[in-house]
Amino acid sequence: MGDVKDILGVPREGLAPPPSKSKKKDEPKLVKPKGMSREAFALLSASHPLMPSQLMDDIRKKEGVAGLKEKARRDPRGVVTFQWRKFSNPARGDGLELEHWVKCYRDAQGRVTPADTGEYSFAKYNKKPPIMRYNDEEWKNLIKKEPGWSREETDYLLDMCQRFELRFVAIADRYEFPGAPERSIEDLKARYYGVARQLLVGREGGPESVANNLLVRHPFNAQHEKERKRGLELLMQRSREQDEAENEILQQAAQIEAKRKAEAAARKAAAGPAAAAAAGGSSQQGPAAAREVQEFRAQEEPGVPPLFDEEAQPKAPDKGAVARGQHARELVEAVAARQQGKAAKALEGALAEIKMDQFPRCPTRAVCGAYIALQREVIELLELKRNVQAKQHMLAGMKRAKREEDGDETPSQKRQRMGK
Amino acid sequence: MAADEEKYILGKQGERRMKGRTITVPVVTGTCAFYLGKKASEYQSHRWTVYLRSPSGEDLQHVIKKVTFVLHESFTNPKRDVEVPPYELTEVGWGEFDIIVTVHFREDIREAPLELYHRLKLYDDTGAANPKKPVVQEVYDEIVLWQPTEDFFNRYATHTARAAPPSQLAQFYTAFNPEAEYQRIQRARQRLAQIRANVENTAAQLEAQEAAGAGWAGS
Repeated sequence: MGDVKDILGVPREGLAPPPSKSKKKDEPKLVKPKGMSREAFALLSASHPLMPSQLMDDIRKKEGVAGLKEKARRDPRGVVTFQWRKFSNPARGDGLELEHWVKCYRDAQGRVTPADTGEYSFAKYNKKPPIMRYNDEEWKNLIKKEPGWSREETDYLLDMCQRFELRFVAIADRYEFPGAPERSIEDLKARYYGVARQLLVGREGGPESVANNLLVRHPFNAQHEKERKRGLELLMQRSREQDEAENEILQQAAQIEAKRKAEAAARKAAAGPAAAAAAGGSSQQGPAAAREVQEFRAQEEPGVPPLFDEEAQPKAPDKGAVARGQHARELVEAVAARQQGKAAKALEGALAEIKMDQFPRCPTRAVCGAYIALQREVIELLELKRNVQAKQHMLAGMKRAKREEDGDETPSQKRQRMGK
Repeated sequence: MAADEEKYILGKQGERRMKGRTITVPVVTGTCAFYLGKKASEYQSHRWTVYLRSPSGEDLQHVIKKVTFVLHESFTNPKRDVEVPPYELTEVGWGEFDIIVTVHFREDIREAPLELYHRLKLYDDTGAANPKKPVVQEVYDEIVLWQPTEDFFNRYATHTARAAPPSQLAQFYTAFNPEAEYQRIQRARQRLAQIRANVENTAAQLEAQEAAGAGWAGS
């Protein structure tokens, strides 16, 4: 019992209550600024004064807005109200009037204005392709007279084009001109595009100014279209068996190609390994025997320019007096800067490995030439290594693919599995 | 006698220049900085000297008319000319900055002054500061005079080298060994050539594999 009282902090008989908070100083009271929410204010404390009044200055953006809680209640336009109103769609030709809800504002005087004034907002989507029409003059002078296409029929065709907005499938379907033979889509297109092209060129005066226009650049080719559609039809209708047969033929062709390439490579390799073996053997004797490394002379030779370019070839300076070390250093840095991303890091790493990452201390002619050549050789070697690695990856991938194929699946079974 | 067109070309001022010839003048720009130790203050912690010299201790007056050192703008009169060797300039300061060392050539060389840049180094890599041991930074470079004037070329050909006037800092000069550096680079290049031969071998083998592997399919 005594412990319980202890836990609760109830004073034992005779003992004073534990020293209360009266000793602790109360934190200086903060005044909550008007407009700040109670929750936000509760986060503030006097020990880290944040000047809540200054916080509020950012929030107070508009004049007349007192603070966070008081939003812009009064829209100068008035109170929002919705009204059921009639409207007409200018995109329609028949003047049909329908009704719909319109958002409006009722202002203090009681006047009501709609929120969006202006024409019906969906009218602008009524786009039609521009169809050129000819008058009698142009018909006489510009339009070639196609056999089988009378003036009336051509007019009818253009009317249909306008009505159906150049959707030739619909036009061809509803095309009914008394006395005209069966017109395919290609026929109609050919006639329409022919007329349009002649009108365009005729109106501009010459083919040059409209040479960029699609009509002139790519005239309609009915034959090509017919063949294209026929090809697609055939493809759609091809049976499963025909597909497989074709794939097999392609595979055999690939094999024959590969065999031919293998023979060529084998021939090269037969010549190659002999030479490579000779070089490998001599390289065990001494490094100089395997590859010749270009020498650079310290002496200036008459007629030979003193500086070097990136390929370590002699180069003449732009001015009569230059500092060789400065020039070579800039060159080396420029070459290194041109390497991108991984290649740049690889270059740095490789140079550091052979302890050649610092520019030489004595940039004489020989040393400059040798260092520039060294940098070039490192870059080339790294590229070579990258190519070899890529090739190794590719070969590994090829082997994997071969393994899969040589398994139990035929190509058509694999296609089935892949959901074709 | 070879025709004149083969030996000479004409310069901008109509002077005759030696076609395809080069005269190389090796120089060293250096700074030598002493920490002032007890006498160091916040704005004057080091006494340093910037100089231009020949790496072989040769006198350069036959080429150089004067050397201008341009210091940081916080120094009064930052442009300091030195017309008589040793081409040195001593100052006190606290900061490291780039000094422009401009070499003005003798009149008959007829070249615009050449600017070299040298970074003043006050603190060595360990950061320790010893009043007795200066922090020395020397940079070797070579002034390349391409197609020099006939006058200078002839004068240079008959010039006998003599020792430069001695300098107090001579004991701190560093040595340069271009031949050793050249050999080092060449050895590295030979090792690279070796590695390259191996890589090219591997590449050839892969080519053969690739061609052969394509023929395995289905047969």
